Amino acid sequence: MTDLEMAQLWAEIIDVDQVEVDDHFFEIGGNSLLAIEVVRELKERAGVALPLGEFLRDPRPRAVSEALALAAGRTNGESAVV
Amino acid sequence: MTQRLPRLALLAGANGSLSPAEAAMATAGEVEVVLILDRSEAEASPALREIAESVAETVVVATEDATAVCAAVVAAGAQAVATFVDAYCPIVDEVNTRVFGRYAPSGRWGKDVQRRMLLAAGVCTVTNSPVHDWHGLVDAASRQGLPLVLKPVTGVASRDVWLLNDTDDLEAVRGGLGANMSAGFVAETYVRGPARGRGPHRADYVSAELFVSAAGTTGFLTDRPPLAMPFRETGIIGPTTVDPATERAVLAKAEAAHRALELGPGTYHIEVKLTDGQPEVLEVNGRLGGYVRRLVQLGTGTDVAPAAIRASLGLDHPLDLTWRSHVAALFLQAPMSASVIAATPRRRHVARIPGVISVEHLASSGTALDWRDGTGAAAVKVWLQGDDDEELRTRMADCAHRLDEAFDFRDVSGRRVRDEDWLARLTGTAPAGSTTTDSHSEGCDS
Repeated sequence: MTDLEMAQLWAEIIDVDQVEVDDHFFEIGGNSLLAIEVVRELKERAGVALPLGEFLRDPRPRAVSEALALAAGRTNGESAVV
Repeated sequence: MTQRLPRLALLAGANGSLSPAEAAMATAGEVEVVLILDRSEAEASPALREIAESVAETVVVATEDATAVCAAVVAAGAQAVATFVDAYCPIVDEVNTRVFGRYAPSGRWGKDVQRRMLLAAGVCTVTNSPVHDWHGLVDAASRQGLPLVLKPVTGVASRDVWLLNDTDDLEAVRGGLGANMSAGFVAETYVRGPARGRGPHRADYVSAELFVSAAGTTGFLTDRPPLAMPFRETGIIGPTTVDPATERAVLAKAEAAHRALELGPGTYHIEVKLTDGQPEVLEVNGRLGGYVRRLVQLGTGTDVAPAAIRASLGLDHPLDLTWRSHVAALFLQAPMSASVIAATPRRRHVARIPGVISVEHLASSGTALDWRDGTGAAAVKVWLQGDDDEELRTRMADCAHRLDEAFDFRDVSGRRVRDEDWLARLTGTAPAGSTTTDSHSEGCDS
């Protein structure tokens, strides 16, 4: 998922017109419940279970996209081992 | 050999002035925070537990069981215990006494005991009477005179706080509270604000945030927009616009209150009413003020959460706040007569109002309303920013008008109702000489 796609997803969930790729989730109207919703939606759309703690560590679309890619890599690695 | 980090046990909850995630992540790499959640709250809110466990070691206990909380703190290997939730301040005192041997006067977070301690120390002049039924209230009114402020001893966020100006108001309490006063109320002599008020946009009380560590005390003030009747808060503003002499007097009074209550290291949120004489302490809370972290972060770029966590351990953390922009959180409270929110705007529409940088909370259409629910029942909470105080004030006024138009509040008969009095006080359009509820009101915690 690209940074822009991530930003678009957040805009939908928070219900704002636009989210920039470096916007902080909690500074644009996000809250803890919406954070959980984002993580669940990411699992639904990207098929990757991003730990909530990793989302909260740097909750900006660009950083979360990177974290998601790393998590996807871990998932693929585990699959390969299995 | 790796040096072990200081550990802080934190009684956390959904209604804290720092969220569990904010608290746990504020000092990552410097302080290990062990989150203690209340069992009932964790069961009622699985999301709270999920978030807590994702960011820190988390223990779930029945917080009404002091022995269990003490055991959890000991098991956590913590050097101190703290909270950012009002309801947990008494248990933090108890754990401090039983686990760490730090004496804490009993009952100091109750509004009755706290006021007595402040009076005894000469820190305030406000008297109050415990009230357990309506006849006791009438007795208090005859002894102390009207107006009075009636509030629950253990109340938070302006819940069930009544302003009693006359005998009709006393009767309203009889109708509204009836026999439900046995849990404990106090009738407090009402503190008059400055005769000339502070002008529009500002309430006549301010909040002092104190950060107390072993190295000393540092603090700053924030302002408030005018209250919605009777005592519901409508936001927070930074930086303060009080003059430096008043600021010093308020901070000195806040520190005196801290000493009078025999408080230790930590963060404290102290509401202080400005008067034509000395500032009066309204109440002392054993935590950082609500919304303060975000306000300061937006206005100065500094995160006060690390200082708050470190202060809880008695550790110093420099706070040098230089305000680069003017910031406010504005809460729209429904009129007292409203019983339901009939219609709300979309969040994205609110976010488009000039100056709004985010929408923190938006109530749903159909939400039942009761003014007695206090500050927490706000219909919407938005953050606004301006380059200077004038721009911020203009934006707050414009925003308030737009929100007033966009929200549809109805009374029990289905009639649309608006709080024109509050709007006039916020925007400076109240007629000269009109009675401003704000200049005669009292702050409550948030």
